[in-house]
Amino acid sequence: MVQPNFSLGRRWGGLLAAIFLFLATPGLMAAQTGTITGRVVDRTSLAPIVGAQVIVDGMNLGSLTNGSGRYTIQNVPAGSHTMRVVHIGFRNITGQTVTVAGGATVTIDFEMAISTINLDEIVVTGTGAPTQRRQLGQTISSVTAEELALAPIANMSDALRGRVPGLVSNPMGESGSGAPIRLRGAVSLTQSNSPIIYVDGVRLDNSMQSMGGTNLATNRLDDLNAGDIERVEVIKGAAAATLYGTEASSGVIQIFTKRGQVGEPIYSYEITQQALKMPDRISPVFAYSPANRQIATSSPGDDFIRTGHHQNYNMSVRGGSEGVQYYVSGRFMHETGTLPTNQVGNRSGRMALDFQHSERLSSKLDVGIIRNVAEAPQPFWGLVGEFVLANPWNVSELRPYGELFNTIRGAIAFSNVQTTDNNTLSGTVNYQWIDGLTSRVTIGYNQVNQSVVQFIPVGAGLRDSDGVRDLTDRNSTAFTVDVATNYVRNVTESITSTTTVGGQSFWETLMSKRTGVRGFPSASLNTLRGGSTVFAVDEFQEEVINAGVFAQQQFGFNNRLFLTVGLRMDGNSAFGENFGLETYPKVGASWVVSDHNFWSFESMGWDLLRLRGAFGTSGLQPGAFDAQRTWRPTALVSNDPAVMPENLGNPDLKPERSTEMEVAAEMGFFDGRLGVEAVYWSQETSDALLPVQSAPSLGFLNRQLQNIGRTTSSGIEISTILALLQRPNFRWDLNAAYTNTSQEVVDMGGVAGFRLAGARRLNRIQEGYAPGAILAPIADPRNPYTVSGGIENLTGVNQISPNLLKNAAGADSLVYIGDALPNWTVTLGTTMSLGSNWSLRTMFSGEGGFVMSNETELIRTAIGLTERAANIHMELADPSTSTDRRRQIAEEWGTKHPNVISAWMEDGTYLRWAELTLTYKVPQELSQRIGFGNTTVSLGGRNLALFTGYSGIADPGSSSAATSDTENIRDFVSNIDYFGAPVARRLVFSLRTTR
Amino acid sequence: MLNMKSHTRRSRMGVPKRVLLGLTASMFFLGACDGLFDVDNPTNILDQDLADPQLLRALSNTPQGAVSIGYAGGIQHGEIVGDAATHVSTNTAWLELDAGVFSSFNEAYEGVYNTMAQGRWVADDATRRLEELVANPSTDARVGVAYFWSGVARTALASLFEEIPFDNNPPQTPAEIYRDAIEHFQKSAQISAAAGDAMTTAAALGQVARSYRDLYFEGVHYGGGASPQLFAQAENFAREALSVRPDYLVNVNYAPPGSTNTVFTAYSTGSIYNVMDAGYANRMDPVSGQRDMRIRHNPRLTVSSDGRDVYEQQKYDNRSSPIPVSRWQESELIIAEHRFMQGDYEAAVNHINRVRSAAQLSNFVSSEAAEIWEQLMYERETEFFLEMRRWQDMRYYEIMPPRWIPAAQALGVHRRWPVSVLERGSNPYYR
Repeated sequence: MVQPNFSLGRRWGGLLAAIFLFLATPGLMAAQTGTITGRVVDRTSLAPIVGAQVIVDGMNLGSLTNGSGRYTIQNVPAGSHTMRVVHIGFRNITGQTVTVAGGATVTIDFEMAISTINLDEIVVTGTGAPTQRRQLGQTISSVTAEELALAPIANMSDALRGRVPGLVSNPMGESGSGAPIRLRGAVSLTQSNSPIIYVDGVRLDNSMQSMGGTNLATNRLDDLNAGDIERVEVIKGAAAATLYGTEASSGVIQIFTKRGQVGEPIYSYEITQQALKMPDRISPVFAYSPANRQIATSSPGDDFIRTGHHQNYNMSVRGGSEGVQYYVSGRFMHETGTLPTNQVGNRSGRMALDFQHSERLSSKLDVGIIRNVAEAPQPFWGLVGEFVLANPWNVSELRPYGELFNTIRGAIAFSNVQTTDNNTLSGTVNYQWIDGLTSRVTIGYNQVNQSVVQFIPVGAGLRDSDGVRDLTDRNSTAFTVDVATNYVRNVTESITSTTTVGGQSFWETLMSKRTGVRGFPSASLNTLRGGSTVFAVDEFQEEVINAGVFAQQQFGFNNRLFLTVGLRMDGNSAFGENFGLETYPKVGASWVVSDHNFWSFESMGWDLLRLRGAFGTSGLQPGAFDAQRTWRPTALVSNDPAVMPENLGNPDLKPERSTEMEVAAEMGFFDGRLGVEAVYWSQETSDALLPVQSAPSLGFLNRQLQNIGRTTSSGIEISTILALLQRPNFRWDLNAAYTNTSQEVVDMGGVAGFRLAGARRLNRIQEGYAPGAILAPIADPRNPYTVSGGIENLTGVNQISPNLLKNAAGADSLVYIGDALPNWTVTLGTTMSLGSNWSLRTMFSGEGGFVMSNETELIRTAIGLTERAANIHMELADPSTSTDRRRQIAEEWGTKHPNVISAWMEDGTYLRWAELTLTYKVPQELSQRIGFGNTTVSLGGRNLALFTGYSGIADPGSSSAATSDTENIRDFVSNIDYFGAPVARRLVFSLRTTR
Repeated sequence: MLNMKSHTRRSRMGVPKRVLLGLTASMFFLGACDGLFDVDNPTNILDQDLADPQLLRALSNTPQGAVSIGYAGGIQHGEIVGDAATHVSTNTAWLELDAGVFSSFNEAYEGVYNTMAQGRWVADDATRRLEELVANPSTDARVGVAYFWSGVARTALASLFEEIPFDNNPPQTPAEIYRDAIEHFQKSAQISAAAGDAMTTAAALGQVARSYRDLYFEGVHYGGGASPQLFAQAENFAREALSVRPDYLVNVNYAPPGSTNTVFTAYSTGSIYNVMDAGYANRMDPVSGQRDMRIRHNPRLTVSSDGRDVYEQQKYDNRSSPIPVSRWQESELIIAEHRFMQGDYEAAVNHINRVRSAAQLSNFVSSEAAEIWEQLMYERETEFFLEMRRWQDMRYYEIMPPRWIPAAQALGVHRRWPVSVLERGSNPYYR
């Protein structure tokens, strides 16, 4: 069995340690400084505000308030300074000045007003320049470190789930399992719909990698340490993503990591322990034996399903001088899943350095080193399949549980380990030419080295009993160059102008290698050399180059009306040779109506109204070599070379073009205590890439992409936050969000509708329906089944045949069953704070408007291993069963026949009790007595309950079958319950402290 | 001073103009960087590179390789439709094969058609390229071999599908395809003979014989009526093949991972989905009463969930096991069959016994027509077990596959698979 290797490379680890020690050395402070201290409280309740950022503008100096709302900023240069106080849920305080004398301490207190809508929040758009939210016409959702700090999450996907309206991402039950992330549905029918990911301005690998056809696929977003995250901004559609250009039409996730700040080193420690329990949804096996005329039952899973354990340890230190600030962190995480052999581990380190070289010149250096190791449960379809298909009547020495394919114990001896090194290095230089004119250059490099090792020892499997070793290496790199110049000036007293020009280039490479051997002569051998037969060998390389320039002009009028126009122009190596550059325009407007003097609704409790809108385009390029006609070299005959047709090629290939319009209103009521945001968006993808099949009789079986399709989607997003109660010792907030998405394949350019996958997967791309919709043959309602030999002679279910509904041409009619992707999502949350020490936070999230395909139950029934099927088999075999009863059985079986897959589709609507956290802030005096600063203890749970009418084992919304499919197919075949494990319930304990 | 003014004026020329200037400069930059977006594709061969003479070796292997993929798939699926193999699990497509339900979409034979159709096109394309690349195509053994595989692609397609379109053209009947195959095999025999390749020559002539026999039965069952001349031609070519090389044998070879004998992987790797039919297990030779070792299999592996005995075939015992495509026994049995039809029972028995002798079985002795016919059927069924002949024989001799459901049986025994949905959806003739 392969032992996961969690050790970081020695070279990287040593470097990190050296830098860490260097940076932790004190003595960087400047002389002639003073101290600013004070307290921040809620203006209404006068309750202390914990975690508010108090910042000395322009100085890189700041502090967070402690459990009593107090803050202290040391080493503030003598002189006059402007203060800023920022905290989520409150209106920013800006412009307050304070004068500090050398060696003195000055006290300044702040009272913050609640604001459920914060228009002054700083976000980063495609220009790379910080911008106030009030200036933007488009939607940008953000998730902050404070929101994540108390959340019972295990990875980054958990951090986003339920917190970003319109984001859909459903994991499978196996530990380490990632999930595709979709923003406002799917944009492309054939290309990846994963949003692109930036970490501190550097492109990160956003693909998902399957683990050798198992039920487990990982994504690189989950490699990141959520404890390092300062803020995540999610840009959902083409209108917002225009300046990101080609590749961005599925949205953008921008991650900003924590950075150093001036002051003494602050050490933070976090310990999280979670217990994982599999929901009890795996029903026992029932099997009828014709020979014994009895039904036997068994529950093999009971002997193997275990309580999982998640442990996570974070440590970080941040501090620095005016000249250099640092943030260094380290993480160790390990999780054992609820199924044997399933585990995931993560070790990571991150360092962020900020340099202020002169008044005008600053720079940043970021290093991130991650090793993620995941081991999937075996065999290829997970152990759940073996649990539920083991027939107790087939128990033998060879098959202790009567297993169908592999013995459970044999499968546990298999291993399938994916090791990922995900390293990032980036640097940014900022230069201020004159007041208002700044330039920025970011250069970054992300390298992902991944290996997957599958190993079946000799004798462990009933299949492949002679042993298998299968190695896959995948190496991807992404090199980012991002240059932008930003010029902000006041055209007149009331008109501001912001001009940005810039360019970006991405050079991405991918190399993969695979070698598989089988036929080991001895169980003692476990390397490739030991195999006698090579069954798989492959090497693949590709590179994609994208380069683009952009310009944006924004005018602001009295800081309440903003108009923005922009343009991006891109070239890409994947475009066909007959296609040149692609241009993407955008316009946007934002109007804070309530800032006008004529606004007179405050007396009615309506104190804020912002209207905004945006229109923009974005793109998505085809695959690296889709434009070329290619032949595949292969050894087909006695290891001699041969060539086979691969790709038909299309020199006219160009990117898909998504155009989006969105309008929104943001409203604040009752002195900021109620905030409502309503967004309507509409998107059209033209030049959609569709696979055109040439006739197999013409030799090329792979379908060729052509820009011939058109899809539309639209939706609404409504979110609201209510500060329900504010008392000095009690605060109660409620939040809710609802999104609705409607999608349709409008035009397929003459291409006939097609299935996305084989076997029982009936998801289709079909004109007039949502992508991935289920259109399937159904039983003829007038005559759903036929019993051969007559009812009175019905002794076995194989005498019952379904009759499928036929069309006029005599072929099976395809009937719309439902959509595969959720059409609506809902999130409900509440936070209660009692005194300054206790808080209770919970969140419910749900999805609906889609169907799940319960393949697990279908297969179990077909094989006769459910209670219902076993009883039917027994009754039919019993000569005493009456004809009436046989007729009932024929009706029951015939109307839900295992050969009619559509009969096994169920509504997937669900509501999940997703999160619960009870947090206790240890009184500072007590915490300090044991040598710590701010300390919080949390107890909570994740995935506590699932409310659904769906009857399957897997969680609705998660797909346990599509991991082996290509990414674009996985996007739509997302509703398959195929022997996947249910998502585990988690009991979470965490301790966070600083010193 | 003038310069200062000028500078000041320029700085006030306005942001939009500067943006325009920047954009224009950037466009020139992108336009000037010819080759900026050029990337290498070291993984595949580009179309224009196929004319490279260095590819001659690869092209000469391509026809057989292209046919090999679909050939094993055809056996894997076709034997389930017949009676040699069965499917014991829940996959709808395979259950349909088992039950004789040939619905408009069945991904099982859909894949067989697609790979076979591709194999035929690739074999033809490679043959054409070879003829252009070699110095003397009429005497080059590689060209003869290429024509042989082009012919095999045709007979395989004709034996499994109702109609066969080539190159986006209207479909042809299997009979037309058999005639086309005969032309390819004869050209193969002619070139191979000129090149001194006796094995390919004999194998090609043997396939001409097989194709004439097929044409005879096409006439009997699919229109045109019985034409005894066609079977006579079959016997003539069978004799000619045996005269060139009495022990001729040409296999389709496999070289995993590039190509795999999927009959082995489907029926013999612990999967109890696709298994040989229990009726073939432990088959006893009716003459000697001994187990006939031409049908090799393992001891009973297990019992399927529906109570059927499960055996794994061992005729092909690894992923690279070759599958016979043209061999002398077929010519002997064609001669025997035609001799029987002519009433020459003694000759028929002699030719049957040549095949039995090679299988180390004792001689069959009889002068009774019914017994000889029964023995001939037994020999074909057993000798060509899992060689893509059985389902065809069941159609020709009107043997109803036993597992077909009544509704399928009612549609008759002569049906073959429809052309794939992919072909129907993309070939302009169908659209």
